Amino acid sequence: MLVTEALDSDDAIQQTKPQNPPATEHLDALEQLRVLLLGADYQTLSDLRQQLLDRERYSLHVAEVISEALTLRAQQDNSLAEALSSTIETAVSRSVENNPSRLANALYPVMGPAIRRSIQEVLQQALETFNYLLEQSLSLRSLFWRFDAWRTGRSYSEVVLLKTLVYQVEQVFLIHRESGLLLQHAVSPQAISKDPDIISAMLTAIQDFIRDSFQVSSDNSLKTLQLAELTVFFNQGPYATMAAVVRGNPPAELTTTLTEVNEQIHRQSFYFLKTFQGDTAVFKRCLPLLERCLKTQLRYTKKFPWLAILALITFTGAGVWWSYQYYQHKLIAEQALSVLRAEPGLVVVGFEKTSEGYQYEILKDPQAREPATVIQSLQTMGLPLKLQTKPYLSLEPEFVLARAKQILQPPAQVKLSLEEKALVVEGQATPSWQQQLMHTGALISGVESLEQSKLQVIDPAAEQLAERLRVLVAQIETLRFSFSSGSSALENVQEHAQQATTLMLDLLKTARLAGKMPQVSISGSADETGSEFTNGRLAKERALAMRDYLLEQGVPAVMIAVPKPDNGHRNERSVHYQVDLF
Amino acid sequence: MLQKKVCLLGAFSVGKTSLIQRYVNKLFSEKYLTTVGVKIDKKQITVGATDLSLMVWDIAGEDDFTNIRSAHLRGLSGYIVVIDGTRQNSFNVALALHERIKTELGEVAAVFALNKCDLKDQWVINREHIRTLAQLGYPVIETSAKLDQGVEEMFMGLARQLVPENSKA
Repeated sequence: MLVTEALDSDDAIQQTKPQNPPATEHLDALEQLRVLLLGADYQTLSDLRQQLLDRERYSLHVAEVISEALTLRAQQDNSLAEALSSTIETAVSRSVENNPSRLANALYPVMGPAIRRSIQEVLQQALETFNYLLEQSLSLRSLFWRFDAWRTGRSYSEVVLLKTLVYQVEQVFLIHRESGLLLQHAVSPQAISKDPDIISAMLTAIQDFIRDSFQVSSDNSLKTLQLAELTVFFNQGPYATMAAVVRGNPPAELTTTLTEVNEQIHRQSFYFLKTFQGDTAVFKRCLPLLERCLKTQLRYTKKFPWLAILALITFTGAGVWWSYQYYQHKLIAEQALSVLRAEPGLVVVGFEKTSEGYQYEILKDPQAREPATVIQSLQTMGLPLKLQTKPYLSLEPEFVLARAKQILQPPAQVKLSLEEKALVVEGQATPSWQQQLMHTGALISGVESLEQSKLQVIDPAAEQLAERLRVLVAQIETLRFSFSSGSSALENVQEHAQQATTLMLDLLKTARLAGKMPQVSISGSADETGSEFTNGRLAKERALAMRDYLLEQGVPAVMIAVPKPDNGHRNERSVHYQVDLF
Repeated sequence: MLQKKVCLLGAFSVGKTSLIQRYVNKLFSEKYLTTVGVKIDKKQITVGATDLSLMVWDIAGEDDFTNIRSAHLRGLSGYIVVIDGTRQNSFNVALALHERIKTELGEVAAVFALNKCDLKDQWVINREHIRTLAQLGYPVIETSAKLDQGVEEMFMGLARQLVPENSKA
């Protein structure tokens, strides 16, 4: 069978290679020998060789089985993960460099919920801690504990922990089972840990010691060590032992947790555990798992955090109220500012918020309203609005006019107005007021000139004197003294003379006040009986008699004029007077 | 940082504990040796660029009455056999221990410490003995707990064997 096949193959070779060069004859002989020996397998072998050498064909061949090969290897051990890890890391980092959004999008559905859950847990924990602290710091029990701490000389937190602790997992060791070397170690923040490397080895030694001393089979191992309130739990895995140091009364589920964690560590780091040669760096990734075992159970039931929520509401309420007040105050202060700015005669030059309230720096014209009055309605809100006022002079026409009125105090008949910085004065006024106007009018701020063409100056005293003079003149001129017929003798003259003297002296005084000089001419007259000559003489005698008598009575001679003869029209036996003023 | 378990072995009262006590980080007292039969200390040492943390298992001395528990030897990376130069028996025990470990664990790093070199005039260990030890292929170092001699070299001699060749530089 083998021989025939070899011969067939030989023919085939002969056919495919008919013209071999003579130099390679011995090679051909070798080929022929091979063909003879291997028969049909030779063809298959050379085909296989060809396949290995041809890159494309070889790739095609590998591509067919690569997935299955990877799956098979992954089932055997973890070396595939290790071999690929650096490649995958490089690929991921390349992908992030090239297009970060693609990876971010892919991770989004995973990251979002995880982050949310983590935040929720942290918040929940913070709220509970806060509540617990509030409860402890406010309750009667806490006062008792503080007293206890003071009495025993321990710290308050220590006393609280002792009184409230049910159990606490203080330390967790991950120990290489064979060598007792410490692979990883987690310790709770409250616990004190001595050199964990040595403890790890010693725990292993103690396990060995007990196993050897009491002759138990090597499959069995120590489960717990207990001393007073301290317990060490062991969980034995194929390659690593977990040891948890617990203070207090641990719950049953702790053992389950340890088992689960140990299993997970074995799954995660199986390869490294199996091939452990003393390099513990690779077990850093087990730390979060160990930390999961560091549990603390306090002796207080989880209550709804009323106190914390109440405190939170109070703080928030206070915050909102404060903000509202602040906003309201700001609004009022700004309203006051605009009111003050709008008020004529007030200029707000400064506005600021100080620790004592809002402060306004204001310039005020003396004629303007008091700033406090202006914002009186806003002051009622109980907001401290402080006003600092300094005087200034406004040049607004209404204030210039008001100032002029205040300074000049014009009489009722005078009307003041302002036209282009000129003070217009109209109406009637006394000379003294006019004099004051002339002196001070131009000095008023904002007034540049005076316009008093329409001002009528009236002196009431002069008017009065003139009137008095008129009355006196009339009174004197109506005086009559009658004589007996044909006589110039003054009979019963006293009363008339006294009246005439008084009036004349009064006239002189009054006229002098008015700056005038009076002259009283005394005229005599006679009745129509007798001759004209006699009558003329008689009239003259009568006038002279009266003159002389009046001079005797004290009438100054200077004001008595030479008696004039009567004009003759009068038909009476009398004297009368005529007054002239010079 | 590499962690290695090493054992300190030797016949009863050859001075194992006294030899290392000044050179290691201690956590446990000597009474552990008599109660549990083992005491563990830590020795940190640097070889080239590698930091080594040696967990030194000081195992109670072996004689006719005390046998070293196999469990203590599991997972060890190296060991130091201490011989009391003044006692022939300790030499024999050392060889026996070495043989035992070789059988149980195969070839691991080792150092022979010839202790009590301050009492050399009383030594019963002679050149022949030392040659026998040297032929085993492991460092042989003379030490003295009393004179603080040779202990660092002893640890270094062991540590060099524990560090992978490529990281010794």
